[in-house]
Amino acid sequence: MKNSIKILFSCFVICSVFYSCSKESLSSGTEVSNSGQGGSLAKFTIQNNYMYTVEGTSLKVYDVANTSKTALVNTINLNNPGVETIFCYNQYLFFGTQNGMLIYSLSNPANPAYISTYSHVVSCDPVVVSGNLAYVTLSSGTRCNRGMNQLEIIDISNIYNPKLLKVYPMGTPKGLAIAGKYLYLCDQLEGFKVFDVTDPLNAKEVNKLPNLLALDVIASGNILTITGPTGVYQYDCTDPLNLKLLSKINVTK
Amino acid sequence: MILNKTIIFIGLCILVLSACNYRDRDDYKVVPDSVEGYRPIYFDTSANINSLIYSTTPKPIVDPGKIYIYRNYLFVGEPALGVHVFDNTDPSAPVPFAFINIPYNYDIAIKDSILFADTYVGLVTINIANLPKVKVVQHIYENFKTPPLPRDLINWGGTGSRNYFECIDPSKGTVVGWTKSNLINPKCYQ
Repeated sequence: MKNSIKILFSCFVICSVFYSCSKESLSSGTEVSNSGQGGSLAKFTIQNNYMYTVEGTSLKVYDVANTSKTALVNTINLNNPGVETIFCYNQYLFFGTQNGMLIYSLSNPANPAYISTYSHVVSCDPVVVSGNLAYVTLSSGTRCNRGMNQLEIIDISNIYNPKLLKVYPMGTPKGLAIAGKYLYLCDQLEGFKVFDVTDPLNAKEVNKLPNLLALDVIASGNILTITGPTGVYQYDCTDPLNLKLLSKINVTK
Repeated sequence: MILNKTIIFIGLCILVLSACNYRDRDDYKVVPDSVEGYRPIYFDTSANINSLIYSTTPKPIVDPGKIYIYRNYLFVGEPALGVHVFDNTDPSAPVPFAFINIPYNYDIAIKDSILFADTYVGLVTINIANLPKVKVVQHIYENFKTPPLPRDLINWGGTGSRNYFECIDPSKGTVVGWTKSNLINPKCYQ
């Protein structure tokens, strides 16, 4: 009797493990995830059971499968003096650095492996990725005086050999987000811009909020959350050509 | 005669140029008398971080930092001080919900109601399942290190502007952050 209870209990445990696994793979496939969403200037990103953080020249890997027992499992030297941002896409990590974009593979998620570098002039830049294209903004922030001010679209169809596809001059571009065929770009003093990037060689500015001093953006469903020195704005982007201001959280100086 | 004039002219040029050099070396004109820059914040690193992490009633946003969306909440960082939490169930009317005091925090991420935050003593994990109440779960220590100088968000002055800061005095303790203030004749810049 005792034995059969044990067997039943083991079956239950095994089944529940399988159930939780399948649930997890489902959630990672449909974007319904247990983690949140940050902007393109983030230095933290969570992918499934791991959190990746950038600290100085290091990439740190935390096991967050069980969030009540978080553990630092790896520290990787990125061999780059100025890593600014981290972005995760399709089992790859993309780092925006002061002299280019670094790509690491997450085939072994606990031990990201170096894949390639796309180099550019010294500048400050975040990166976002969709499909075979990476979008990088370069701006001449205070620490990057020599920098250019431009948007670069990079072909990463060969992940081992990223190639510059096209450069678009900008004001002082910072944060950006990609959603479908639209690229949202925070061009600070020049405002918030919407590009149709259906043809990456001929990206078209299709909308612009010239008075919005934008620094970073999160595109989440129909909502754009935009931050800048004057406040945090939320826009309905159901129609990106006609953004509707929903709310503004003011800044108190 | 023309030769003499040329020699005098060249001599004057050298004099003027060397005067400039002299001034440069003396930091005259290069370092402004008074300029907005950053002053290091020194901290007693023996303090217990758990007692420094707590939630309060909402506070006004002074310097919006990084943004993060988790479920119906919108998080807005207040660099080096903590995170503002808004109930964003209706994005057309976000409701100030709480402020989480996290010293020297710049970045966050959230999974399963656990907020991961960087601090001056490494990563801290905070349970936010019962917002506005928060509870420190773990504290993953790392080596102390001087946080980077805050970047001015926009290079208003075009090229050539500098980020001035008061030079670090190690005898005053560990630098855990930077505060913007008016500096008199600062010697350090980036």
